[in-house]
Amino acid sequence: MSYLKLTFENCSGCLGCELACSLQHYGYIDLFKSRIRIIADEEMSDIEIHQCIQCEERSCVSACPAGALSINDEFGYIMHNGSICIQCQKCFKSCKYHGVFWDEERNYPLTCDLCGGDPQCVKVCKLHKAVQINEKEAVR
Amino acid sequence: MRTSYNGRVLFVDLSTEKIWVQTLPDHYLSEYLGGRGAAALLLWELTGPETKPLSKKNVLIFSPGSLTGTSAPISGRTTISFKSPSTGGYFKANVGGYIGIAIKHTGYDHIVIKGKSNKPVYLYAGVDRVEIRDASTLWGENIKETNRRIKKELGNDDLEIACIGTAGENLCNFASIMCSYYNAAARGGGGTIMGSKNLKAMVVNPKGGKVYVSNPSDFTAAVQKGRDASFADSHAEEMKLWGTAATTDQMCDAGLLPTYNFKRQMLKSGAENLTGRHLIEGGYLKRSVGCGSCLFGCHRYTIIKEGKYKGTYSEGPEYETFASLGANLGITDSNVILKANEMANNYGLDTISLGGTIGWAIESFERGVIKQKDTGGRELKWEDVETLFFLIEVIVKREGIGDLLAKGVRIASKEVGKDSYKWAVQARGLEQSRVELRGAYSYALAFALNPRGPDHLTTECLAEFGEGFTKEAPEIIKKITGDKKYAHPYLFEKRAEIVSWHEDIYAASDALGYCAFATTACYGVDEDVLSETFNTATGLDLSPQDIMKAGRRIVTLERCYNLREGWSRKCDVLPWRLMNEKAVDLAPKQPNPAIMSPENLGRMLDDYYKLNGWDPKNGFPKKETLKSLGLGFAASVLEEKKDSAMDSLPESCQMG
Repeated sequence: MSYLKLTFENCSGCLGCELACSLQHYGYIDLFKSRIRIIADEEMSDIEIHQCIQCEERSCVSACPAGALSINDEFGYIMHNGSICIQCQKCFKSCKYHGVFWDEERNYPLTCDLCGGDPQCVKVCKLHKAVQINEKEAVR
Repeated sequence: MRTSYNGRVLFVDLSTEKIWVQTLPDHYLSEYLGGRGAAALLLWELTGPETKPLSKKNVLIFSPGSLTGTSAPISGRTTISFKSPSTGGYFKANVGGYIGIAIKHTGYDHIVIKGKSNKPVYLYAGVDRVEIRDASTLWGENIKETNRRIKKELGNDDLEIACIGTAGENLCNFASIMCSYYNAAARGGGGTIMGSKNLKAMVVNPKGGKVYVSNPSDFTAAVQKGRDASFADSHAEEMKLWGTAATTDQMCDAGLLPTYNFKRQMLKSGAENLTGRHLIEGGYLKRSVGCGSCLFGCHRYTIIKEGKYKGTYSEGPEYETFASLGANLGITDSNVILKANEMANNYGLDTISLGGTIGWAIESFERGVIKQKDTGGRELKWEDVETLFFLIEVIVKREGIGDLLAKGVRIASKEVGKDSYKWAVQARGLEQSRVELRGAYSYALAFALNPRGPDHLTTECLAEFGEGFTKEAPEIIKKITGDKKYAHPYLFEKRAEIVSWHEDIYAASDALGYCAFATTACYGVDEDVLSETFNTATGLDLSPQDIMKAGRRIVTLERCYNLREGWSRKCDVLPWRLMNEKAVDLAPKQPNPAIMSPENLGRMLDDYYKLNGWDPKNGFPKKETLKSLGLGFAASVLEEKKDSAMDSLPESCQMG
């Protein structure tokens, strides 16, 4: 069960989640370092939200030859150990949900850590509810 | 300290192909708040009475707000400042989309474009390089294709593009600058200036850049306050659900919907087709879209799925477009309005001026001032689809009657003569937006004072409608005037206070990059929120009162710009029709005479001048007023103008 519920048709494409995400994690804003991405067609007609959904498969974890990725016990998000990551990008390439991004500047993967259980993206999206906490998870 | 605004200006001279960067002194932020405010000072310094709007001396200043690019809610707006070919005066157009966020990622706070290229070009601005690139093969293309081709040429889908269509290339006087495809910096002819400079587009690549705030944790807390206040406002859900055309039908019922070129204030039937609700129920709504960092998402992306106009796709129509290209012409077929909206967006035309110009043309034809020989044998008629589509096409191409109409109604009515200024619904050269001022007195005063001309985009005074607008509105009026009883659109009392407050917070909102809907439609983001968010992003320490005073400083400097051009109190007027003709459909519903006479307007203007320390004789801010705002430099320039200002009228303010 995913901690977050993504509803593509509700997304207005405002990028507020991307801005808040990168500020939360880096203390500055860089759209290309967000762990949630709004992927729109050229005219903002069709929009997909790309973000780790804490899937069943965890293909990123099994794809990692260095064992640098693990699963957080409490919330189920992916944790990345930068000290043993060999920067092979296999995690990034293995995710069919487009939930792993690549930080080209630091050459590391970017995965959603749910801001430790209080995700900024959800706070932005209270009106449109494109990104929400799954109700069943919220009571956990 | 790294902050959200660093005063970095990218200068580009298209004549010499010189590109350089300059850093502004601190007061551009501390006194003018960056964005629109800093740009007003730059425009004051870079242009003047000798600057012809379509000459290489004029500038285009792209200014994201000082908080744009951060996660401050509803702060993704960009101001584009220039001397307007429509008005001959100060102009700021304001646009949403994502271009402001992209500009801030490049590390620039303003981009100033001057000069004129001798061939079509576009400007590319990225973190690593800035260059002027050939646009010869793009010239002649419209907005959708221009976007597609530039992205393909540069192999990058992450680019944000501001560009013109053929309307701008052909120097149509009300050409818009279209950003992020469908976000229009519509008014005042910014697109016309781009056309005059042979500048097809400005392309911004945000990749590799960063936007900082001075105190990330305090900023995040301030941002959350702004979000909470915005979500709590009862209008937020309305904006999300219905967009800007939420109440077109109710306005019609109230006799407040301008129709038939402001001759009437209602439609016999069909107003319900011109609403956000109809876009949903009619199956047109593809998606509600938000500009950068918006919480509301009031934009509508619409598609026609079947019938004659199948495949029509664009952003909108917004209220102003429904009213201008629909109600104003007696057209209520939503398919037709969606098609006309798509055409205007793709050609790069301001739909407000376009609808106003077409309305004037039809009425001129009806009155025999424009004749069939002038139109190539065509009849121009109300409620007529063919008239609408025909006139859009000839205006863009400047063919036949279109060449006259492309100049806008002020010049067109002057050239045609025969009292046609009486139904040219414009003042100071700008076609009025679709607000029935005879039933909204704060709006009337605000429109008369607006340095752009008569429209709603330096003030939204929605709170004056009180509970008819939202449950919060009477409280806002109480905060401004001391008493809820002034929340009534048919009162003359306290309109000066209401307009001044709205002008100030609007200017501050623009400067910071907030959408006016965050501060003056939803009223959740107030001066306290602005102050706290601004301080934690910039490292300054401005009180809420300082923020509002800076708003007043910006408004006053913009006023001074126009006074330096030879304007005066005599320019503070409304379109002739609204000051001299009765609003017939509104009359039975309104205690006053449903006319915004020069006397009634003058009374409110006197109050406003007195409140703000302006001289009622000539409309010039007094010397001590300017000094108290730190605008002493303007006082000395205006000293020599003020005695003779009332003896003449600048060209754009002349009627007939």
